[in-house]
Amino acid sequence: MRFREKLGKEMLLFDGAMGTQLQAKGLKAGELPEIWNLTHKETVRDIHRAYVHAGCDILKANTFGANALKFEGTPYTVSEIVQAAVENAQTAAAESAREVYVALDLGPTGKLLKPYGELEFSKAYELYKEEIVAARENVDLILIETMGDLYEIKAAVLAAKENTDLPVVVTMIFDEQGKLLTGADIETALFTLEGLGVDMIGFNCGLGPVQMLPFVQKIGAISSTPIAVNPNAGLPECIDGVTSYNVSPAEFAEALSEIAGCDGVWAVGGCCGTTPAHLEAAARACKGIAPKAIKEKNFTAVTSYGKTVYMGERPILIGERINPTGKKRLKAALVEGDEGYIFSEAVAQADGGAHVLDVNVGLPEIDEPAVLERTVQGLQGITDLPLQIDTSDPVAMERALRIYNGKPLINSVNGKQESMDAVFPLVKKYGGVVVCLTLDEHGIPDSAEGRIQIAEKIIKTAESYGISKKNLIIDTLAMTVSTGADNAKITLEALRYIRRTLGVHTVLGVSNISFGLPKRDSINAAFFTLAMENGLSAGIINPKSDVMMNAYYAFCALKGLDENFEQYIGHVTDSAAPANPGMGTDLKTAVIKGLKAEAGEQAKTLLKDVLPLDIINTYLIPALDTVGQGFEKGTIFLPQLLMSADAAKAAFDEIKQVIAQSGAPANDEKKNKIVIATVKGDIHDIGKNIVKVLLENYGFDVIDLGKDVPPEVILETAKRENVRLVGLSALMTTTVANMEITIDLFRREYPDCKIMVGGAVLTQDYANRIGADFYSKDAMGSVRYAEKLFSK
Amino acid sequence: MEFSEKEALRYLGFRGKPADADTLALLKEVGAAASACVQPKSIYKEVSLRRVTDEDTEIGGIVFKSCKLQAHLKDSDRILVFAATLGANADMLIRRFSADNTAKAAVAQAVLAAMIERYCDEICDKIAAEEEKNGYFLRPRFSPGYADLDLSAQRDLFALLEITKRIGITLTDTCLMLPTKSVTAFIGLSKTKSCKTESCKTCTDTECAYRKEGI
Repeated sequence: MRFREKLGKEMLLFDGAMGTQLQAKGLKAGELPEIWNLTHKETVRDIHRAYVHAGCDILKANTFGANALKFEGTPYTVSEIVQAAVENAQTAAAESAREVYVALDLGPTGKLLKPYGELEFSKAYELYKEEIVAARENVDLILIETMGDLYEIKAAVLAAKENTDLPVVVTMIFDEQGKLLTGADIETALFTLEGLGVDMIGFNCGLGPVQMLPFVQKIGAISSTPIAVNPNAGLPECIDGVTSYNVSPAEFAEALSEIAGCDGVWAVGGCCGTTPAHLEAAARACKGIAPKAIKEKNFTAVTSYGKTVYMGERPILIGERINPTGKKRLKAALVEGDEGYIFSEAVAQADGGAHVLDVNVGLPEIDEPAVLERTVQGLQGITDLPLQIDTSDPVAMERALRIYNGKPLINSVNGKQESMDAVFPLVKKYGGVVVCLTLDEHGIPDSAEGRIQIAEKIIKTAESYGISKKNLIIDTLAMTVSTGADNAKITLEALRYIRRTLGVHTVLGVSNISFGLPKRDSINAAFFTLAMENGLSAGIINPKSDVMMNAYYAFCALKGLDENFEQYIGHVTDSAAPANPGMGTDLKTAVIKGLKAEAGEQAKTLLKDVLPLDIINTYLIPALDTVGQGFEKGTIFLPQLLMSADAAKAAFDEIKQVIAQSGAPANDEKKNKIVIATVKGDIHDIGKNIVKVLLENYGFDVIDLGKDVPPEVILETAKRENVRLVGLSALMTTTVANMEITIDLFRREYPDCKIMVGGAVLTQDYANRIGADFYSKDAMGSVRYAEKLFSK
Repeated sequence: MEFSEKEALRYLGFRGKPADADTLALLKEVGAAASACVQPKSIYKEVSLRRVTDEDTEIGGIVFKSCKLQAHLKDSDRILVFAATLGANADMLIRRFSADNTAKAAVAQAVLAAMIERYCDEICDKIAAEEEKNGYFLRPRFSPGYADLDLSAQRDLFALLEITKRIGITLTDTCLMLPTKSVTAFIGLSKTKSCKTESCKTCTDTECAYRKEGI
């Protein structure tokens, strides 16, 4: 019987530890256990045999760390190691009269993926793919285990699903607080992996069976997928320099049997410290326990890398601001690749109370698939809110879904066959909750019944793709009331029926209702309240609008969806606080005092009468000079300098907004360009980021190449952009060597370019030795040097 | 999570001078945000210690090259290897602040650096209290990259403790740690008490941001 058919028929038993067993047989610290598949074949086979003898049903091949990164510099290839490992396990399995399955065992790559670390998602995918391709003909399932990063799991799952039809089991390592290393909680990991369609989900390693039990109960209550649990033999203890696990076989088996009795658990086994004796006891205690049938749960949930947002009685807010339609400043930012502006919009909406952020970068003049992918990747590095991937281009949608870390909202599919054929396969493959627009080949029906019919068609078609209605939210389309007096009524009627009668969640782009009318916020807020009363699950709104947020919090308070009015009171207290604490001061004072909101407001007011350039020269530059000089004299310190820089930036943003709206080219005069980068091998970028903000304040056009930048990339950019100054940052002694290599390259290939350097370990002396033109001992130093250089 | 404000201010360049009210308010705000997101984890174990030559010390069966490490351990006859981290979300917090508030990003950097130091000190104090019962005292932490102990020693230290698997710290190709707010160290155990903090006065790196005046 194949593994999938066996699932749920009887309690299956995974084997126990391989690593700690090999250590007991002489594997040394630092030695790669997978090499023993070739050098100590019989030892490995004997361990497998012992587990078969103990009664285990599934053997984990000794391939946990068999990826190309770990085998770099060894004489072995990944495929020979993997094949030997699988053969060892298969040999032991074949000797048994019982049916014993062999799993390809995939552990973490050992590197952190971007944005937490340096490994590209696509590279992680390739590493796993190589192992899977080597093993796929000879294994019964793929076990992805001891995983602490949801993003890395996604890479492994995609590699498994795209290169085999084998069952995929994922078990993760949670800490005692119930969090993965990269911060995901249990529900977030579960919903993301259910979206990806894995066969079993669960826990291994990190904890013993006793500590794991509450987590198993928790996941069992929300999971629609069978659960596998492989705990350690207790928590590790260190005795005489040896890490050991001290739960006895009898205790282990007893605790494990309690886990096997939990809802949803269909397989158990062991991890670090467990021995054939533990598994033999476990077999006796657990194999007689019948797996319970699993009920399909009905949660409509989306997740980021770390947290889950549920659709329920309390409506959720989707921030609409990252969408270039009608927003010239955002358009300019997208065209120029100014991610900073997009990120600040994200943070502002999160601070404003958004639960999910819509991301739409659709502009005819950009490469939408590439920009959407990059923007989603960037955003998930700075916010823990789930994203709504908003595009009408299926290519862009797939690229964004592929690299999304979690289970996203997807915007959108509609009732046209073509749209459903393009979008539903992506939803099925990558997971997600999809926004369904009630329009089709015949357009948007002008009756509630017409829109309901389309909704029903979409729900039915989704089902035929294996997408349950819990993963749909229907948009009954807010059409501007200025073109039809019944428009709001039709939308709301359809909405109510779909939510209350069909039992499917709903969404609206709320502000569409008021196009063409004055004082749109008033109409929007009233319509928003009506929609929520009629069953709106999610509103796509502007969380920076006080009127909308007032309507939202008041609605929740009135409907008993806000315990003790906590959120309402929190909201009104925040908005009652004076928006401009320093009102009455001028822009210059606001910047000197580091008042960000105030500086922005003051700039906005000034822009009504004063030319942008005059504002810069009369207010901003003098203010920055005052602060800069204070910093150089040692009367003010870094935090104040940066608060002023941020305030000045807020003022500059207002100025840019006006320039963008006037349609004038962004730069009247050609600004002086500077390339900055943290050198190759170095991952510290706070110093470089500070320098960037200050240089930009002083009017320089900064091209920021980020961190860990190869010398060739810096050179190429500097040449292409024809810059005269490059700033390099390095924090560690070891990476200053790469700074020197970069400087050498410039001296040979582009000698006219000046190079300034900075970073914690650098000194004037050191900078001289590596041949830099200027050593900047602090953040202002680079500004002064750039001013001097470009004034010549 | 606790941290020393004084330490954080030193990283921000105050060097003992009093901080203004705005900076102190920022420290409080960022400190609260940091406490809410860190996932502190640590691991240590005792391993074997053997001097091979003046430069070579065999620790847990692996030879580490460093005269200064050997000198540092001269009174020690036992040794611990140690690792601690605040987790990936600490870096996330800095990135999030960097998106729209450079001042907060810089303060977060300093606060988290002070937090990981304090966290390491707390773990070490606990170990010290236990070891004192056995008549042993802890030497200060000595990390790869200090003095003449090459940063590449990280690779062996990581293998000794299975650091990546156990607490999730990873190494870049250049041996830097990710998450960045992480510490690894050797900790000698000796029967004689030594000063807990190494003297800054004797150090030749006069520009060091961590330098304390007068000690």
